[in-house]
Formats: sequence, C-alpha cells, structure tokens
Amino acid sequence: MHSCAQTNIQLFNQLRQDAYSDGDLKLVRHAYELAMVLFSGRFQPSGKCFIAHVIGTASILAWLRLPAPVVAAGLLHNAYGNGDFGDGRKGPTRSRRRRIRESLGPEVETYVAKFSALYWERDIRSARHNPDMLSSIDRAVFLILFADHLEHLVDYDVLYYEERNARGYIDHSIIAAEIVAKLGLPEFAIKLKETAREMQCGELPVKLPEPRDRNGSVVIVPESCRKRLFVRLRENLIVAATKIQRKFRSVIKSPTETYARS
Amino acid sequence: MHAYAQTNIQLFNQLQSEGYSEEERELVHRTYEFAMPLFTGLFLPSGKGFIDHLVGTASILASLHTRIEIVAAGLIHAAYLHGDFGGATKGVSDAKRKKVRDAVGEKVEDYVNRYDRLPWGTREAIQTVDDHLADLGPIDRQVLLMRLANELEHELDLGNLYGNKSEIEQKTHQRHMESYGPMLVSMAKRLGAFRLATEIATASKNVASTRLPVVACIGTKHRGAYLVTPASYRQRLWVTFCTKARDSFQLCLEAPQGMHQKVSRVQHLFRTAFHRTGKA
Repeated sequence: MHSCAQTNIQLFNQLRQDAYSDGDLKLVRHAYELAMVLFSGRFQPSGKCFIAHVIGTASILAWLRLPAPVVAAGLLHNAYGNGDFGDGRKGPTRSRRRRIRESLGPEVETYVAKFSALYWERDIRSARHNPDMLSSIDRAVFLILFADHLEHLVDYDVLYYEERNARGYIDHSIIAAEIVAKLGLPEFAIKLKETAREMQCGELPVKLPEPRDRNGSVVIVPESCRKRLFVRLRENLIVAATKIQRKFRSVIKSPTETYARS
Repeated sequence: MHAYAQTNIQLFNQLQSEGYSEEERELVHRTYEFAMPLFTGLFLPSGKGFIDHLVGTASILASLHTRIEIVAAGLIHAAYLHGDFGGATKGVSDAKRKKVRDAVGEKVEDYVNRYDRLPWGTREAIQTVDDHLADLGPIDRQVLLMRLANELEHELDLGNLYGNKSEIEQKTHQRHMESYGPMLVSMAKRLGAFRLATEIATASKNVASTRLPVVACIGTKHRGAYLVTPASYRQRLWVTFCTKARDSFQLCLEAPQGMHQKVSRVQHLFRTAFHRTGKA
C-alpha cells in the first residue's frame, strides 16, 4: 500500500510529523473544510472519493516540503473544474474566485486559478525547455499538476479510466519526471518515473462494472436530496441558450456557404 | 501512516495481495458500489469521509483473514444507522433489509442486521456484551469482531481525538479510552483475534499519549456522522418535514422527563441548603 495520505486525518498527522506550524495546519484545515463542501458526493471513475484524491495530492506536496499555501491549493486544485459552488456555472467566475480568496487568501486562490488555466500541450512545452525561467508561482502550479498526476498513478487509479485517458496520464508523468528532475527534485522525479513504469504492467484487481463514462468524476447524490430549482433552471437556460446560439450560427453560415458555392 | 486501506482501490489491491479469490473480490466490489449512494456526502465529526471509515473497517477485517461476507458486511456495517435509503426513517425496516439483501446477498445482510442489533454505545451495554461473550453463537462472535474492527478504525489514526474540539474534550476522550481500551483488548483476545487485540492496545496507548493541536480539528458542532449536501442540491421537502416533525415529537416526549429532572435538582438544592442552615 502506498504511503500518501487519503484522509484529512492522515494529512494532518503527516503535517504535524513534518513540523508544519499551527498556522499552517489552520490554513490547510480551512482549505479542507471548503473542499468538503465543494467536492461532497463526488467520485472518481474508479469509485474513489474525489476528496481522497485531492488529499493525496496535498500529501505529495507536503512530502516535497512545499509551503502551506501550496499544500492548501493542492486540496482545492480542481475547485473551478469540479467544485460544486451551487451557482449552476462552470469555471473560475468572479464570485467563485472571491469566495476562495476570502476564505483562504489571495496566494492560495492564485495557485488554484492558475491551475485551472493550465493547458498541457501549450504550457508544458515551455516548462520542458526552460524550467529555470518559471516564476515561483508557475513552479508551484506545475508541482501541483505533477502531484495530481502522481496521485492518479500511485494507487492504480488511472487503470479504471478509459485506455486513451490512462495512456495520457502515464505519458504525461514521464515528461513530468523530466521537468521535475530539472527543477531539482530528484526523488519526486524517480517516484514519477517508477510509478509510470509500474503502471504499464499493472492489472486491475476487480472487473469493471457495466460500461459507463470513465473519463471524468461524477456526483452521486444522496437519495433523500434533489437538485435546487434555481440550479436546474439556470442549467436548462444555459442548454437552451447554447442550442439557440448553434442554430443561429448555422443559419448565418448557410447563406454564406450558398453564396460561396454559387 | 497505518497499513490499512482508506479507499476502495487500496482495499481491492489489499484483497488481491491477501489472496482473496476473484469471485470474493467481486462481492466486495459489488458491496462498495452499493455503499456509494448510501453514504455519499457523509462525514464523521473529525471531517473524515464516512466511506473511508467503512473501507478502513473492511480492511482491518480482511487483514484478519475473515470470511469475505464479513469483510463485505464491514463495508456497509452502518447501513441501517446512517445509510440514506431515500426516506426519513432511521433504523432497520423490512424494505431496507430487502434492498440490502437484493444487492449483497442474505449472508452479508444478516451480519449487518445483527451488527445493528448488538447493544453498544454505553459503558453498561459494552460491559454486558463482555460478560456474556462466552454465550455468543459463532455468527454473533463474528459480528462482535466487526464491532471491534470498527472501534479500532475510529482510534487507529486518532480520528475520534480529532473529533473533539477542545483540549478538555480531548482529555475526556483520552480518559475514556484508558478505561475502555482494556475492555476491548480483552474481548478481542477472548475471540481469538490476538493481532487485533495488540493493535487496539497500541492504538489506545497512542490516543492516551498524543497531544493534538486544536487548530487541526474541523469546526463542526455535530457529534455523530453528518451529511454535507452538495451545494446544488437540497434535502427533499417531505424528508425535511418528516425529520423535523419526528425531532419535535421526540423533544415533546423528552420534555416532561427533563422537567422532572430539573424539579428534582431544585428540590435537592433546597433540601441541602435547609440542611446546612439547620446545622448552622
């Protein structure tokens, strides 16, 4: 069994052992309290609780002895992508950013916002070639991304994903190992490389259930709960608006195409 | 970090390495799939996910190489107490039992049902179980083993200690463990689970000697498991109504008893006061 934390208690125990201060513990606890609200009921395609994944990511960052705001950001790294803010929206909206900033401070929020804006193909290329040119914030954000990858690999979580996706994680981790080594974290690089290698011959201990979407996380709602009317309305409105937009575009496009053909 | 699983993936990996067959692992997998909607969004006062606790309990049972039905039952041991079956009622009902039976089979359900009926919670109840341990049948002995695994899981990572919000509360819990731990150890020994006994003894000692910073404790007033509803969702209206009605009814029932206790307290104070004045 691997040794990165999977529960808040294991993470707090780890931070205590690693001599993080009481102030650091308080910040991480606040981040966890927010994560509980944002990721409650969310599960990975493997059935693992999403909250265990973010704790694992934070635990890896703590293992690297990174400062508490980075560990706290690790707990919320996917807040804008998967967090349920109850507003029926997606992405880093102004109100969402304000909420994280007010509860955890601007530094943590900057990491979380930068993480959500990361795009592997574009950003990794520059990091791979010029790792020394990275600012301290970008460096921390990349480390959060690589910790996230390692967390997916370390307990065979990616094996439960669709093959293409799993392959992507493994390949990315090998590149990540290369960058991490250049950043002066050889232990982390070895761990990434070894885990990626193990994963290539890893086997699932159980048969997967009926085919289901195995690419993203899902929310499993308690049976005694239902979606709020406001959120349902907003989501329906967004769907309707997108449909109208698409129709409108196709109407505009078709006369132009007819004109071009003629 | 202790060696027991805290996530389903770790549990499946453990079962494979402990030599449980593919069929047996499938049963645990099926049980976990059943547990997901039942305990989703549920947290312990320490902030730990309830599902993690269930997985931990199953993992302890698996490490003792118990039968797979017991491991599976460990995974849903609190189904009747905390499981969300979509209604407002708590506890066992025929409909709930049927649902569990259909999902995981009769044997597993029987263990879970017996677990729910096992008297526990107060010192007297535990003492009664301890006194009558020799009279327990083979199935009930396994159910008691599940209970002990549950207790160990709560203490193993200092979870219960993290659930206390002040130093005084933490000290009270430590004192409680000092007196309660040896009882659990003796029960585990009498069940023949010597490894479990050793682990409980170590965990109790660890709880008693640890000083936790209060800043690491989650800020909640809940004393038991509680639901954190995803922000886009809310409890169904009729469930809220029934729960509130039930709670108010219970309050009304308890009120006369509370009043009686208050009156007796005042009477006692008066009597002692008069007694003192008389002496003076």
